[in-house]
Amino acid sequence: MKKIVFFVLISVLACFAHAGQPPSAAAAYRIGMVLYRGVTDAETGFMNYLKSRLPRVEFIIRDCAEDAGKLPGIVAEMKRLKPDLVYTFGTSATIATVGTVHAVDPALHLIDIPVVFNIVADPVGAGIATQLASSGRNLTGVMHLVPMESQLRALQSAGTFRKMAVLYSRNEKNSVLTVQALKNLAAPAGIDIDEFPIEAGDANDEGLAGIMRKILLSKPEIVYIPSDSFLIKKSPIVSSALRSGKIPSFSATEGPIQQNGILMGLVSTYYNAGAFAGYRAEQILANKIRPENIPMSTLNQFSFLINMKSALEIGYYPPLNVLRFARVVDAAR
Amino acid sequence: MKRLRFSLNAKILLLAFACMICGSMLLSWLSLAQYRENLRPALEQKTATIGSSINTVLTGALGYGIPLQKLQGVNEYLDEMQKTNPEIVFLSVSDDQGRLLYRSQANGDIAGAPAISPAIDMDGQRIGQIDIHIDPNYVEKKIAELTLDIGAVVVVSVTIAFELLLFVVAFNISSRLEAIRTALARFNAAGECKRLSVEFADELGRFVHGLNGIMEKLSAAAAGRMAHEETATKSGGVDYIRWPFFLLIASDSMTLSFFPLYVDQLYTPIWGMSREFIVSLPISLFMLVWALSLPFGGAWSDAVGRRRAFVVGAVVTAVGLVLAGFASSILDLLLWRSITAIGYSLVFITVQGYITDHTLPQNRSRGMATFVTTFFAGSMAGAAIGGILADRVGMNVIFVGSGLLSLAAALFVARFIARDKPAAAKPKLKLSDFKIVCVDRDFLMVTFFSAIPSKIALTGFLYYSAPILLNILGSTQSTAGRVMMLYGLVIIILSPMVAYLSDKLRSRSSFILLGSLMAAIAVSLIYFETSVTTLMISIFLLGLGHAIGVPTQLTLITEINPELSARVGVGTVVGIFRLMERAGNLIGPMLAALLIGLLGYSSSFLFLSILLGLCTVVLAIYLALKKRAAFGQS
Repeated sequence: MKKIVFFVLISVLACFAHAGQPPSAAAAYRIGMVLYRGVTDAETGFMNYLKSRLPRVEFIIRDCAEDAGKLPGIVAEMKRLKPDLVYTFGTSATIATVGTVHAVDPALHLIDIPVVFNIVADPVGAGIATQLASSGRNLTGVMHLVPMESQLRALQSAGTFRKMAVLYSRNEKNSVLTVQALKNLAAPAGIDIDEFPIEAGDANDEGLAGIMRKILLSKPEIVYIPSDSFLIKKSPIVSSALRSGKIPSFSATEGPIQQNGILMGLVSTYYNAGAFAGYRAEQILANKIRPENIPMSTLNQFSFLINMKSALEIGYYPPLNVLRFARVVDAAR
Repeated sequence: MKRLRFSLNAKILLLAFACMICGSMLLSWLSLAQYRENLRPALEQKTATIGSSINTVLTGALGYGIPLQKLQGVNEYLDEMQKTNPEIVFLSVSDDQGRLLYRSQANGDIAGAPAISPAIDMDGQRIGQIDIHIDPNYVEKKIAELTLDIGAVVVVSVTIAFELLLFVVAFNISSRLEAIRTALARFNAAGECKRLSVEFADELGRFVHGLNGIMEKLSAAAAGRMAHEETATKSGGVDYIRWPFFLLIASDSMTLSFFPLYVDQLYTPIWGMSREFIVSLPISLFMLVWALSLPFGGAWSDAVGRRRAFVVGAVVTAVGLVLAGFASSILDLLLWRSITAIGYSLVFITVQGYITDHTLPQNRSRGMATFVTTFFAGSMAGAAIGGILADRVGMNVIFVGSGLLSLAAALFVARFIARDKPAAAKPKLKLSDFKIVCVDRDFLMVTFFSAIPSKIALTGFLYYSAPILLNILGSTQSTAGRVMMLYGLVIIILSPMVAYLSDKLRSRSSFILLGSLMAAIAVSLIYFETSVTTLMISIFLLGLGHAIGVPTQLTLITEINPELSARVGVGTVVGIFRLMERAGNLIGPMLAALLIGLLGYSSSFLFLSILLGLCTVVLAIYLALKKRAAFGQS
């Protein structure tokens, strides 16, 4: 018995030791990962998918820890290590790795190694590609945002909301575009939209608190929060203000619902987006499909997330048909 | 000998039917009894499962901390459960005090409905209960539905058996007996000795062999020479073409009960046309291509012979049907349906030609009646079987299966129908004839106010709208097939009777007006009540109206203006009439689609019905005035 325990212990230790070592020549596939804020669920999904699908796959993980200045160094290291494929997280890391379409520098960017990006809201808008059907270069990837039509339909299934406030940063291009798309679809759906843009000068805690007070005064039936970097970072402030005013909120991204008490949203979970990126990597590595022949796409299955603690706190009770299919997070029991 | 009252054919058919009907009735009775016995416990089991599934959903939500009284969307959820489980008439949820909190919209009378009432427990404490009320007549309704299904299958099997037996008897017995009779008659009359080919070593074959021996002796005695003569078994009469024609019509009709739904699956917007209109296009285009290719098909069939024309037509139909099963968009479906229409029209006109070739003027109308009966029998059997199978194997598979059936028809003709010589070219319709016929007021009135409206009702109401309506009403494909087959069934059963009565009473106009009126009423019924039963009555009435009116139109058109028929020939008048009435086939689906897009379902049918009614009134006034004028003259 002791022997067995010992053997198991050694094996487990060996695994850990293995993970820290430089990639061994025995691996069938070596995958470099250029990360922006550590290993998130997206990377876990990506790695779990590939581990289950490919034999002996190794991951070389490099994280800039939200310091974009470190990214060129990481890319240079990838050039040296020559992995079979590079995964990038987010728009900044992706642009640092492959450059924008009109500013590719072979000295700085990866050209001959296939790249799969993940968690990029708008690859065309960001200049990573000129069209979603094909990047035209050694690159493809996964967008994590859910199409606005689907989000709006999900919102309507969760209740009747006629008066919606939209909070967004004026200087974030993605947010502005999202709000425009929302306005186009909301009018025919019979939803009135009140815009609450955050100007550059107000992009701080006090400024945000002021805007939240304005929102509460306008008494909306629901507040929409786009995929907005500033708001994602400050979502605890947004969330606590809305909960105190007992106003439901709907987020385009997963984090604010999972961690900060925003009420609900239809999202691609990071984990699923990661697994989908893993599938794209598998297509390139195992099925030898060229990245430019793989379209950049969103997932076609989304998760409806509900933060039940917030729901009970504000007295919003989701309809049974939503509850049956939704993923409930932060439930009291 | 004089006691023989039924022909051999009739005897065999009657016996076969009696066996089949008795057998299937016995089998149905036994299996229905078994079904009834097993259904009740199964139903109770299912209800318990529904109860626990509702319970799981409710306690799931309660588990998150939502109070029972605050649950949202429960009524909608209960409605949905009730809708997906037709045996439930009412669902409700009440709290532990018995206060009603949530309820579905009751479906029928709940007074006598037995209920099972599972408790809602939370943390081991009873906090409320679910009440599931079951339709007390559900088992009987199910049995009735099943009986109807069995009835449909019996009718279809009898039809198929009839067509098949008719061929088998003709091929094996009657045509050979006829050949022997002819040979003997010739011997009797002129002393001709001819050898008959034996063909099969069965009883008749042995008899013919013996007969040949006698003939040989007689011939030797008379010092004459034996001549060989083929028995006519392979050239065949009208009965030979029935079965393959039946097969082909059945194959194309297999998709009848769901065709618009199939098109709807492939719907993508085209040039801003409404969805309904786009779905109507394949039917209309089929009718257009069919009508346009008939004259060419007829000429080609005359030129290459019936056997080849039928085989080519059936193969083309088969190709079109199979490809339609693999269609990926409306546009390619339109192409495949056009191909089917070309093949179909070639077979259609070839069979008419075959019947003309094999009948004499005095029995031609009986031959054509055979054509019509076989057409509707095939269409009925195909619609019913296609519907029943579509539920089980899916629509695409039915298309492929129907293609194979068309191929079978082609193979059959290739195997059993003798090669024939090209027929003498018939006089073609001339433009000058059109100029004469198309300005004739009598002709135009009957065509535009009776024939075209009839076709509009057929394609617009039956082919296009009925399958969609049945789907909206939640019928299964089996029910749809069964409902659609009613039209053909009524026509087959009533047409001979109507023909007899129409000849006897010689009152063409009243038959036509009665038929048109019935069709108008049939279409209107849906406006007053939208249900499967109403639709069944509608289709029954439409069949009745058409059985009474449509064949009479043709008779009237040839009789109403004897001068016209005398001038250009009855055949020409009929030909032009047929050509023009097909405009109705084309207009029907598109008109129905446009109306439905504009007015919605029930109002569209009222509108269509008023249109048909107005046509009838106009024709009635015209015929009345004409009659009065005729009286005035005499």
